[in-house]
Amino acid sequence: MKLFTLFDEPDLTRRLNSEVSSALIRKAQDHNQVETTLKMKSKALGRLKFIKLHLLHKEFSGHPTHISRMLVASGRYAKRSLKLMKIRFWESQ
Amino acid sequence: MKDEFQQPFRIHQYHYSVSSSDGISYQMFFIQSALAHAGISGSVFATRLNDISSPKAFKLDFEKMWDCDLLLIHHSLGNPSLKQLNHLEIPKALIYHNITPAQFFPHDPTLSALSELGRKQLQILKKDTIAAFTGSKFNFEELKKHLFHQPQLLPLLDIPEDLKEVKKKKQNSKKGAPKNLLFVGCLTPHKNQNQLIKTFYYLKKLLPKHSKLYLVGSQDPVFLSYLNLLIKQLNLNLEIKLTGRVTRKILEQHYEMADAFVCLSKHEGFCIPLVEAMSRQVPVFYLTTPGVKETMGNSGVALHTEDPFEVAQIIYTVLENPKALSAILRSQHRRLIELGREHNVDRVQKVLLKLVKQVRSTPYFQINRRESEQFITA
Repeated sequence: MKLFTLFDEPDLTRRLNSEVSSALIRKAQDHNQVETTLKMKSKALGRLKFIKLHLLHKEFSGHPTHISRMLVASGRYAKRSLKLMKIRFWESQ
Repeated sequence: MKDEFQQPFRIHQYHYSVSSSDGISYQMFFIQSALAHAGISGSVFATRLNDISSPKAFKLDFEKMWDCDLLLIHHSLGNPSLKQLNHLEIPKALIYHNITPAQFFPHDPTLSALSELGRKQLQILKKDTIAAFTGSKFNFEELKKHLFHQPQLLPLLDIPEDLKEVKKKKQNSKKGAPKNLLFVGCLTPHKNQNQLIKTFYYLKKLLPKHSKLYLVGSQDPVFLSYLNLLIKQLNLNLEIKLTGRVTRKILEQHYEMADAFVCLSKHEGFCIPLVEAMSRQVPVFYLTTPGVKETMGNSGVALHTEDPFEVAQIIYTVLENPKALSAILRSQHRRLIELGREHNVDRVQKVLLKLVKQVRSTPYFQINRRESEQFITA
């Protein structure tokens, strides 16, 4: 599988791609280390921090949890929601 | 530059917000300076001025905007002041910058609403402007989709002659010397810095000790809190630096120190930092999303995967191979020359001078009567 391209260097691209592929196969057990570390570490976090990380992680991994609503509700984003009302006002004119 | 009656031409520009470091402001000041060299005066106006003040840019003031031949309206995310602006009876032209789709702002209802508003407002702008310009072919296609009659390409920046010369950058050739990775761009979900952090987690094990990743740019507060948590959980506090906005001088220092520029953006209209990196002899690794691909052409290292584990191994393997590095720099140099043919001061002056001359020679009521039809021909 071609993982990257160096332009106008087909031989070098082929050689380095195969070098990368071999290294990836050698280290295959490390592949999901980021996710595993995050899960492991999250357990050691305080409950609130864990919830925050979990929600943010879901939000930015393509599984929106509507964290914004919670943040607006907590007052942290009160100013921004005021701005949103203004935008809707202008839009409705 | 004057017309036959010796009246100097004047072109003002407007965007909802102007700052000292974002891409749109960059183009506004570039146009202003290009026109000034052609003897055309004009000011920059904005509803919101961030870290910038007069006389460099002025707060939106209709009284001060009347005295121009043409108003260039830069448009990106929705503009709550657009309706008021349209009451100004002066010829207007659109300069379209890309609108990041709402799907990239699931956490921020304000930005999400602005994104949708921005697209709706394109219809208003289509009716109220006499010409439409944009900086990239990707944006050009978007304007066509919104049925703009004859959009034209307008350079976003000037690639001066001296940048096209191969400059020998101080290479960190010592074996075992730490490497510095760089990305420049606002910390937002569509720029995908979370993926860069995960990539660096794997790279840390491959690169020499004390290697670093610098993420330069302003910060979306919710996304920033996610990135900070991610950095903490992956134990990368010492290796990853979130610098926030920086001055031009500090940005230059970052380019000078960088061994690689890594861009995993999911959405870009045209990415000026990529051009800056290329012109400073920094090898660029990038995901081939449309706007990025257009900027890079056939140069740099095109990544066909965004898996952090795989990207890390690619970056490491390429940086370790001197032959690959010189091939990348050669391809980037060639690309700069290609871009320089499209993006230069002469082209800005030529395109806008042609338009302003046509505006001056046509009575305003006649321009206005054309309604949705675009005024000039390509």
